[in-house]
Amino acid sequence: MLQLALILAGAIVSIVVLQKVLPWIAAQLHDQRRHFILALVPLLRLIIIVAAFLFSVPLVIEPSLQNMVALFGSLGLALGFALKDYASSLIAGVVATGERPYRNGDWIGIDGVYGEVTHVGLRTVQVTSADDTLYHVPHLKIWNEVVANANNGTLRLQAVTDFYLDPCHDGDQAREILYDVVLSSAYVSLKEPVAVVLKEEPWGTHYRVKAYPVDPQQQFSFISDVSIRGREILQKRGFEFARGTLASAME
Amino acid sequence: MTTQRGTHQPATNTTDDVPPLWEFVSPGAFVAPRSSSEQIVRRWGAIKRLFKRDSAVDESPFKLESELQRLPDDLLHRLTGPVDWSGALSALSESLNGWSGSAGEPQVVFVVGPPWNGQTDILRAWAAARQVPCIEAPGYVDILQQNRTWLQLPEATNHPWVMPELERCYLRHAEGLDLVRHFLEQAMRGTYGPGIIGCDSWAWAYLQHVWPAECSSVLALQGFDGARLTRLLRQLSVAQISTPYCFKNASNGHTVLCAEDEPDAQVSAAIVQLAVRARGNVGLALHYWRNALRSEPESAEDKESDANADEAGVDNAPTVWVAALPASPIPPDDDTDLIAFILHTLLLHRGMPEELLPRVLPMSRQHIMAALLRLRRLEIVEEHEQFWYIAPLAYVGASTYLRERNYLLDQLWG
Repeated sequence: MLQLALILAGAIVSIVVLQKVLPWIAAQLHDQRRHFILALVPLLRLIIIVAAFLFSVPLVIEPSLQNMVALFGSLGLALGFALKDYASSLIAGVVATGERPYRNGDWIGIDGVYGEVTHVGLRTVQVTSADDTLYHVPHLKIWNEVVANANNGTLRLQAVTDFYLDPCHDGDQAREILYDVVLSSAYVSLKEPVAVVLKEEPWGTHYRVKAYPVDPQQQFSFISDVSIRGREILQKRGFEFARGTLASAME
Repeated sequence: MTTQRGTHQPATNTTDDVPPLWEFVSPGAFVAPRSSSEQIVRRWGAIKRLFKRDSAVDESPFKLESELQRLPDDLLHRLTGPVDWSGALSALSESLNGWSGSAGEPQVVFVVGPPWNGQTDILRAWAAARQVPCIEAPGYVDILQQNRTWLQLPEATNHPWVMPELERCYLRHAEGLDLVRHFLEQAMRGTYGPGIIGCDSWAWAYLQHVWPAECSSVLALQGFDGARLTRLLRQLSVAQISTPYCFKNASNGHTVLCAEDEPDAQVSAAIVQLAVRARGNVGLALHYWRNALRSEPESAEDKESDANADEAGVDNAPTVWVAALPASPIPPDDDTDLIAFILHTLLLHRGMPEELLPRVLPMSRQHIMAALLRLRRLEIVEEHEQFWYIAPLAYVGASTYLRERNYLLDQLWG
């Protein structure tokens, strides 16, 4: 029993020391080695836990055939439950290869993440957001999540720019202006249609300018360009922007 | 008139077998010369030789280009001198034969062509020869201020008018499209009477989105293939000079063109290659041709033989060497799209003044100028009095660059 306590205590102390020392060492470094040392922490911790487990088992259970079968059977069952999602992701990865809900270069929305698919792996799909954050999304999401694919393997990706105008204005003129703003954008793909649609809201008129950038990666720059130039020319032509909210409209 | 799509009959101003040198066709009938199977076989042979080290074939060039020099300006001008547009004017007149813009006929005929193809010069010359009014484009300030006084053109008459540069009537700016839209509306409605409008093919591709009315009467100068180009270059080589020069390929010594060849002489592979490179654009082909001509440093003996060339006949005709066509400079890759935007803008407007570029592009003036200077160093753009345009020899590279990036191209690119 004392041996077991010593093993447990040794493991705990080792882990605590490991989690203090390695981050301290990493903090002294400022290059790629810093990330390498930090990445060692969970790996070494796992090794310590497994070693402690392997040393503890013979102290608690007599290593007979019957006991070993029972132990590994239980272990296998636990692992099976634990890894079912992993296996599910692997199978979903195979299905995704065939059904192709996303491919490299696609802009997808999945599980609250929107970005460009940069790698389709065996278990996960890597999505880089517009803010250059890399998300690893397990393939199993395709079983029960909606996957929104904005360009579906092509260069056609619709970008929508919103304008909110005071309702007292000439709608036809506003549409013509916004149409020309899009048509004159350096980003717009002229091979695709341009549409300006609007909807009346209690606080004003909501315009949606729908067009396609030349390249899907330009979508945010395109929206910015249309927004800046559209706002400038609308103001110049005397259009008022909707400033109020529903509450102020009610007042 | 012979311009209705699908019913066009080529103007025939030469013998039955030989196609006319100048011919106006509908854009759908425009043919850009392409690499022939012979050229593909030759290229394949070149690739095979690349991997065949023990080849016994002597690969050394017939004339080292380093030993040749550019032609003196005077001789270059006389051998490749200004194009005589009279044939083109006749072809245009023949294409317009019978058209008067009367009821049931299109009020306006568009003449579309790529940069440097000469349609502006042809239309100006045509207007001068017919003594019909030539309408100049409005200033850029008028375009941006949408000054419609420019639209109050002279009263309609039965005589056609000519607007040679429609590409100068708009700016790709939210306030730069209104004037050209109204002009096209009035012109096609017949307010100004029958008219002929010339337009750069890149601007034409863009303006069809700005003013999406169907234009049934559109003409384009037919692409110059090897045969046409040979005839034109031969005409130019004897137009201003009495000595019959012979043009030879510097890499293999083969004759490219001789002033005294028969009209039906075989077209040399070098000229076919030139036509393919220029995509049938006669002006571009002439730029390449002028750039490729070389001569040997002249010795006293050469001068004597040149002097006797007229009497000795073509065998002793002075030689002009034709160097390999220069590769079109490739624009650099750019993460910000600025290079592509600049190239596209310069092509859509056939060049643009420096101060207008920041107004039509979504980048700051500093970034645009830095990119322009970089492109000028790479010989991709040129500047003349703060007016920037694509360098002729960079046109192919710039167009390919834009095509690979999915930008709108002209319809005559081929």
